[in-house]
Amino acid sequence: MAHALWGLLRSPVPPELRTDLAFGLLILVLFLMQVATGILLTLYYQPSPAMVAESVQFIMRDVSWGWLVRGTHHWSAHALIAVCGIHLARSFCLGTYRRLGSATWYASVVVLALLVVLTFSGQILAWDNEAYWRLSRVVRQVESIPAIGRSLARVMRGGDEMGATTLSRTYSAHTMLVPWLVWMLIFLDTWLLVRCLRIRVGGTP
Amino acid sequence: MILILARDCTQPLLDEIVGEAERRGWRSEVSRGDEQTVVALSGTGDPQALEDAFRSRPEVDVLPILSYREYRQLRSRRRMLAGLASGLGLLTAVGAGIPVLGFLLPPKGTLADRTLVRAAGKDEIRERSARKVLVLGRPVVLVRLEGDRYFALSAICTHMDICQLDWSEERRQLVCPCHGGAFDLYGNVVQGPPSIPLASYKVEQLGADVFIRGEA
Repeated sequence: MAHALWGLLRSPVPPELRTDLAFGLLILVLFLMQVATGILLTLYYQPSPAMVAESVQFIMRDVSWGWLVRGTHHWSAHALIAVCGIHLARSFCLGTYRRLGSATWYASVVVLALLVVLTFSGQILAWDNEAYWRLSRVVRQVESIPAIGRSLARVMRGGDEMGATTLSRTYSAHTMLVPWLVWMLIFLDTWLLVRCLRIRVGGTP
Repeated sequence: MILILARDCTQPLLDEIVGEAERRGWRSEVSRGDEQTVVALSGTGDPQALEDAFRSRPEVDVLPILSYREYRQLRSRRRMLAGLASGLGLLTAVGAGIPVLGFLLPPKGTLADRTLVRAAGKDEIRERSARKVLVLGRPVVLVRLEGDRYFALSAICTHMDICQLDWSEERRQLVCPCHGGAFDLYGNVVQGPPSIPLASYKVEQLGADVFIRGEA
């Protein structure tokens, strides 16, 4: 594993893909920061409607460096979306996505969509007035999808009304389900990239 | 790295070249072509001595691609850059590690009920006296009446909502240093510009300590 990683780091990159690689690594670093600060925040965050406001206040006011950890989690999430968007737009406009095959492109688009879901659910976790109404508006939009809309909205709310189950579902999606999906896609992306570079460079990395 | 090119190289000549080079501290790699044979050398021998050794042989060309001095300069520059990079990495790790460790330690003075903060020991305040403490960053005056009767007042003067009150032992009043406002032990205005009495905090006694609820 370490040998493969070292070989990957030392292998030459085609000059026209260098900027793409830099963007990709930046995205990886930002995502790792999200994971690290997110794990730290779960130490104090309590996903129940009665405790959520107090625990967020506690993190911001009383825990040492809590403001820094929460602020980093917040701002690097936004940076992640921005960098990802620029990266995809760039490789779309310059046509570099063609060189890496369509699977990489689709995986990247899905990653961007999942990152948007993560940012949205993260804002919901604050469970303040704005978060509540923002989520209920989205749930109503989902409800208006023909045929499956009502069941989907019920799944999102965890019942017929927004409440404690909605919050714990959002928490579960934000900390468990979606991050793991993003991890898998990042691994897939990296694997495809390595395979592709091996073919292009012609040597073993 | 040094390349040795030999035209129409016979096996004895090749053995001589490789032997000469290895004696002088080089590792060799031979690739034979139809007309020309290339011996690539790597190692830490002296390139000048090798060049001199084959100077009398016109069929052998010695091509130093990088002089040893240049190579050494490059190596030391690379080492310096690698050292700088790892130093910066270490600095970043320490800079990130301090907030992370600080975050892991729960703040002092908080119980399972997070709004309850220890203010003082029961015997630290004399009867009919007061003491200023900080509760979650806010100044609060903990007052003791007779025996075990405690309560807490906000220590911010209601005149401008900015100045902190001090407990004056000889006047037995809470005094505002800004405009001379004063409050008695119960938080009522006795003197000066403020017109609103002080807000109070809830107090709880657990064991030998007095705790204050963080919210007013």
